[in-house]
Amino acid sequence: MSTGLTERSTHELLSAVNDSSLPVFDAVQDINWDIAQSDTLKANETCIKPLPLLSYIWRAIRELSGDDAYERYIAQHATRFPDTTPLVRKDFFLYQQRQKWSGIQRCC
Amino acid sequence: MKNSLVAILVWIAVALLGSAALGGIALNRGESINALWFVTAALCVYAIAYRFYATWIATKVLLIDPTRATPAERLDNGRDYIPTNRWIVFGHHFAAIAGPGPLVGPTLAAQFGYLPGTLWILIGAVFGGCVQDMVTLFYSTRRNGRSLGQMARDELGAIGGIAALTTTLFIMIILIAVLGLVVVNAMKHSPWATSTVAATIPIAMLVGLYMRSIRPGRVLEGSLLGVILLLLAVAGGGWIEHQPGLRELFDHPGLPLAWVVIAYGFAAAILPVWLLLAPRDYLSTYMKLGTIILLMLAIVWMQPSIKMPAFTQFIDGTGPIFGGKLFPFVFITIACGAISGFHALIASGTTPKLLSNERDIRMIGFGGMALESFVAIMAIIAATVLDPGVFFAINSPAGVVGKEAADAVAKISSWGFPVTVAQMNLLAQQMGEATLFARTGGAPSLAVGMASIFGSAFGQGMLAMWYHFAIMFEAIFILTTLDAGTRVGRFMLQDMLGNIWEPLGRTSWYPSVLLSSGIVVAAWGYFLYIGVIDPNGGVNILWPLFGISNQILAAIALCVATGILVKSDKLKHVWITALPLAWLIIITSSAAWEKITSPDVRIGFLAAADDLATKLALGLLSPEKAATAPQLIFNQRLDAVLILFFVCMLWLIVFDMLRVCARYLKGKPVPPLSEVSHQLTRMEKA
Repeated sequence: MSTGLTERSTHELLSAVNDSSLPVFDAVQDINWDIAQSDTLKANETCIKPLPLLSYIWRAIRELSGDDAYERYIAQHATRFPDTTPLVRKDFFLYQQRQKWSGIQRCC
Repeated sequence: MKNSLVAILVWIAVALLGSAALGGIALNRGESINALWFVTAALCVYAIAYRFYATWIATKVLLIDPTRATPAERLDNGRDYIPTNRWIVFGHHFAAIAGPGPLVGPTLAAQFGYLPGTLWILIGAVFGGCVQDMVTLFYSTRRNGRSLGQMARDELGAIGGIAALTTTLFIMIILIAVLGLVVVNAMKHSPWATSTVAATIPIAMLVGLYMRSIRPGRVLEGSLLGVILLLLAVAGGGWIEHQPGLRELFDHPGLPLAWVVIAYGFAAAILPVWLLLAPRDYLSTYMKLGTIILLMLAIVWMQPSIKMPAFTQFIDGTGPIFGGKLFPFVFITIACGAISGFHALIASGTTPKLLSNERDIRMIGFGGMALESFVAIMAIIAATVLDPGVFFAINSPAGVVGKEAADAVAKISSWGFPVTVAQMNLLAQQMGEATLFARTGGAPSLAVGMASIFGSAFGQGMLAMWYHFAIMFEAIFILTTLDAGTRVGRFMLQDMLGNIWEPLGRTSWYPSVLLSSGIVVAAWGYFLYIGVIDPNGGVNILWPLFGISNQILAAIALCVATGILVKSDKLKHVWITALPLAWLIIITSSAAWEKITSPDVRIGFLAAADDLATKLALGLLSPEKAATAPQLIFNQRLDAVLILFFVCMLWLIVFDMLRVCARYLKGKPVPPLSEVSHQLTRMEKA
């Protein structure tokens, strides 16, 4: 269901600076969720290794810019519609641009 | 137990630091103050608001439910509904909401001094903008990502839907016109700026071709190529500036540049998106993020001093950049950065379709707006580190301080902000410009401020480069907003025209594309044209119009949210949206009232029209002024009608919301809540 590889990895990378890893203050302690503990542990593990960290950052940049959009599309396509041929890279790119710019995308 | 004690101590420290910084800013008089205090105060305020207010809203008011499947999960189609990592959604959302608005508004509002703008940005964002964005995002997520207009129609009735749609179209037109004016004012008689901005167009097209045909979909490669070319274009502009024969090609007054911008807008709206809009958007997004980060580092590193006083005498309404008293005009001038209705369109558009879990709403809705507000704080810092005399010399239109440099400096110095012709000439020379006088609009003074901060951080020798880099950076994303806005305006118009004659509604039928693009461009082109020929600088007219319409859109979003809160039996907590709504109703209505009825010709549209008409009839105007006077008179009257229309729309929807709420509280039938039913998430971490 998720977008695949980066869903977990970027989360682990960035949970180091994520507010929810801050200790919980009494007054609002009864919040509905608490993922603080497990995330802090994961963050500590990843922070010691510089190489995986760089690769997480690189993957985050690629996903944020849409550089890996086609690869994600192909992966999704293979699991969802294994019987049909996916769009080629160029057609997918054009389709995606048209889709993106037919709504309000930029603000003041 | 130990953890919570540490947390209490940390948050008490943050609160103390924040209050000390805010107190220092607010109570300081007469001495220059370090910009770092602004950064500290802002960060502490956002941290506390986010940790406590946003969490409280999420858990006690909205009852955010992490176990509930989001539309992205339920409707996942791999196209527009895609569950996405929250940091990625945050990045997309922030890139969408942060445009030139938070840079221009605070710069203009600095004419009141540094304090009013700073306080409004902080308070307005925490209680207004952040809440609006977060609540709209939440309600849209609970409604499968429905748009603001659709939610207004579903929850309040047809009137709300129509009001939201028409206001959006009008605000888009005013927004594009005022942004176009900012670019024109930055380019006029500046071969360097004009040639650099012109170069961004072929560069974007080249990047577009690269991403489409040479290396399809390689977005990062294409963007890197584009960014390098843009930096070369900034340097190349400096070369052109010094080439007699070449420089004249790019040396133009405002009016021809306005026609070029209008023609460009039309061309951009009908060209395929991959050729110009999409690649330039990639470039402007990187430039925007890069420059904001660079500016923050430079401020923290250099710790420049704020030279503007906390308040200026212009709080009495006599300000040179725009007329009008502190109340309500500071709240109108700074819309983006404090509260911006446009965000509600983004928060009810793409973003809710990407959320993988409801718990991300706090970070993306509230946190995204807090970050935009921080950009506004940096803009106010960049404007107020300038000598006030220099700030006013750059931003005061010729119609107010006089056309000649000697007249302008005499007038500005007489206000108590000493500045000399020699000082302005030296500054212009350092920035590589012929003159910096009367460049109203915010972009040039912000560029001078940024250049001086960057210059002191990274070397004075590069001042002219930094200045033109800042101009290019602002122009590139103003032009992106201009293209994207024209296109969206076109779609909205086609949607409406389709009701009259079906073929006009087809977005790919070329005659309809040409007609609707032409109408939208003509509409904003008209306001841009008038803004350029107006000797008092069209910013005085257009920016308040934009601010009022943007905040009326915010009021509409808050009306929808307030209606939903009442209908969800949350009357006890309804103040979270009702309070900012009430404030917006007060400031927009009183600003509109003043813009229509004020006898001061610099504030009241009708007074200005009558004054000019009288002068024209008595033959008191010079021939050139007499030639444009009829157009200016017509425009002032049109603006009065327009602003009246905006306020009527606002009151219409406010009464509609109150009617629905009253009926609900009396137990009478109302449109039911359109929230989709609960479905348990199957995604991990729930």
